[in-house]
Amino acid sequence: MESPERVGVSIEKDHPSCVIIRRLETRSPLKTFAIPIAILIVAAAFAGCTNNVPPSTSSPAVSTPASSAPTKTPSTPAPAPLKADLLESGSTFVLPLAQKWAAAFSASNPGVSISANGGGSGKGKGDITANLVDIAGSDSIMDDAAIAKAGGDIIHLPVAAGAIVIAYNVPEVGSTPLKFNADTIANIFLGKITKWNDPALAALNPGVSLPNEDMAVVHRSDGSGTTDTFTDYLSKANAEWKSTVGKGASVTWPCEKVTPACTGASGNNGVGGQVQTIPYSITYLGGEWADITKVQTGVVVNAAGQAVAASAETVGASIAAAVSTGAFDDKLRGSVTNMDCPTCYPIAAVTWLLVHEHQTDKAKGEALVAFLRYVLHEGQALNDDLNYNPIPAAVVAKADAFVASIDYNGQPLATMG
Amino acid sequence: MGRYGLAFAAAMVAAIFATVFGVLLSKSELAFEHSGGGLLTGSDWNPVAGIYGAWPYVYGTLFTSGIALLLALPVGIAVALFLTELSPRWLSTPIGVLVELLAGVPSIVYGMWGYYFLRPLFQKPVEPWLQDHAQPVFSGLGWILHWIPGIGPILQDWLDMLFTGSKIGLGFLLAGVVLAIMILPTIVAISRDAIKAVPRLEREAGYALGATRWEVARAALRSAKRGLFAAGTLGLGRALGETVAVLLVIGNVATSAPRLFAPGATLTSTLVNQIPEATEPVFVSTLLALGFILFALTLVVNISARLVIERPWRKTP
Repeated sequence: MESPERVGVSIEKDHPSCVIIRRLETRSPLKTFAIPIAILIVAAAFAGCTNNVPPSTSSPAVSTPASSAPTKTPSTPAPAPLKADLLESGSTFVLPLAQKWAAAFSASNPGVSISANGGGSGKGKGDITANLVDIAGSDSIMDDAAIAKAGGDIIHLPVAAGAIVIAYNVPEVGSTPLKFNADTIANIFLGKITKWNDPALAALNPGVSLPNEDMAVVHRSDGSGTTDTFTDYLSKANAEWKSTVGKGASVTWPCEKVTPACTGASGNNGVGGQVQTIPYSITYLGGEWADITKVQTGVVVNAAGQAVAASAETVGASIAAAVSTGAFDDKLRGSVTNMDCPTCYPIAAVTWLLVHEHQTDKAKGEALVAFLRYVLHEGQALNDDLNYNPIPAAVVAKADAFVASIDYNGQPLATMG
Repeated sequence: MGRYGLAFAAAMVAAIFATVFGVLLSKSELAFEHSGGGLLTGSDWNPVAGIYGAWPYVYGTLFTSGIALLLALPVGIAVALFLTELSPRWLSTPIGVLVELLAGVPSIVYGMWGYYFLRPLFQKPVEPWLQDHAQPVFSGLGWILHWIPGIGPILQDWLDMLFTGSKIGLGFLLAGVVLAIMILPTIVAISRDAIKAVPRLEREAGYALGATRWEVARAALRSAKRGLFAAGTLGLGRALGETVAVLLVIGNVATSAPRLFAPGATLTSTLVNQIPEATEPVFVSTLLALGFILFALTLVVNISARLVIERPWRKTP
């Protein structure tokens, strides 16, 4: 900044140099506030270190900070109403249902607040392992190694069933559902069927005039339990799929290398929306989303050779078959896809709630047991409302036994409630 | 005492930078051990088989950001020049306010607008038209260039497939255009300030020498060069890091071919897609490594931009 004299201009009142000089003369407000603010920040940082107890089930019941003590009573006598805050995270597949269960349960138990947060099955499993949540929703199981990492006491409770449907947008085909089988589905996503009038599809759908159009294949771009179930089914039912792609929440889609219009979209809503807006597209999506996104869905030929539409009965038949054939293990873990019975819908899925068997907070444990009982019994009625399928009674009976085994300090919590 | 407060704030910035860098580096160590250099150069991404090659995502990030900058920078500077030099005040003030409003619109809104409004337009008239009319021009250019020894045939290959792809709207071009629209307000706002900051004396000198309004504007543009460069850098930085809007319109496929209409994926879209269900430690670490690569990429862009602006190798300012 040059001084005005040197340039030889008479000083004007609003010349930049004068403005700067005036500003320097007045004491900056920053000076006045800087130190208090710095102290506040440092204080807040220290406060954060001491008060920031993670919301974990492993923290002892009594160690609540003094400020929040009045709202929480650590030792609730047995007959008193349930009082606890429960946290859920995980599967987005079951999230809408979990939120309904939570709201309905809290309505009849005002002392209990359950916050269901979603975030994906992977997040749920990670959170329950790290004791960040009380309940994890997951579309896939935890194997023994994963359970050992989480303290060895994770139990699996099947709470909702669903179907993964084949949805498509072919204007020429009316509302009569197209028929697919495992090989045609696999070949579409392998990039070996690229036209709607492919001979294999035509043979399955005699009398339907299939257009000579390129397929726009849409798959999930985000890692998802839906993809996990879908690829689990294809791996069981198609040898080439098993050897080239396999099963997983995120897989490599061979059609991307072949079909020019093979794309990914995020979420059930995303793939549904894409199929709804792009003609000649096809995807797989959670059955409850087919109505929401208004897409046409097909029927699938099962292992017994029958073409079956997705419904509560056909999905229930798959679960029953899985239990009777041992595809479900004694910890209620397993896959229910590609079951060999005449009425089984082959791309069926189960969602689990994962909880710790040994609870470390009595009030929380009691509320948890009551909530799980509600979910497995009265709560199943809500499944239908949201187009999920209920869990068959035989499986619920087994799950009840696991809920009854949840304990606090070795005492089962179920008998107290 | 005031200076200590300020120094404290400055130290916090340095600490945050160091923590982000340190955490990303340490968490991605496992991924680099697992994949080595193949993480950056490999083009096969298969979490089921444990093969992680992120080149298509790096490519997608650079390709879409490049398209965005190529479209937004000239238009942005033109708008800024019009606002500062040529437009009457009654017009430049409201347009300036509009630009600032647009800069504040959340990116998801641009993404949805791109998906619901632009995508159908791209599918029907835009992409087929470009393939019919622009592709022959570029193929011709490729035929001329293919005589260059060495890279000529490669260039021809690239130019031959530039305006091809699935033509369903979703893809690199749509993502690039949405990004361009998103970074346009940033570029306009910064270039406008840069042009405004050109000293009045310079303009008056121009007029005194008998220059026209347009000639004075061009001279001002030359003086504001550094500011315009900064506008481009900031715009590019925003484009490189943009996530949700890109996710909606890019099609989410690992592609590394220069096809404008082909669906692709970027580093950020892959991260947001795959983090929720990633449980394998190597997979999680690989995703964090993608974050590290993105961080390094923005750092390189910023440093090189700074070098170009400052030109430390030159003696005179």
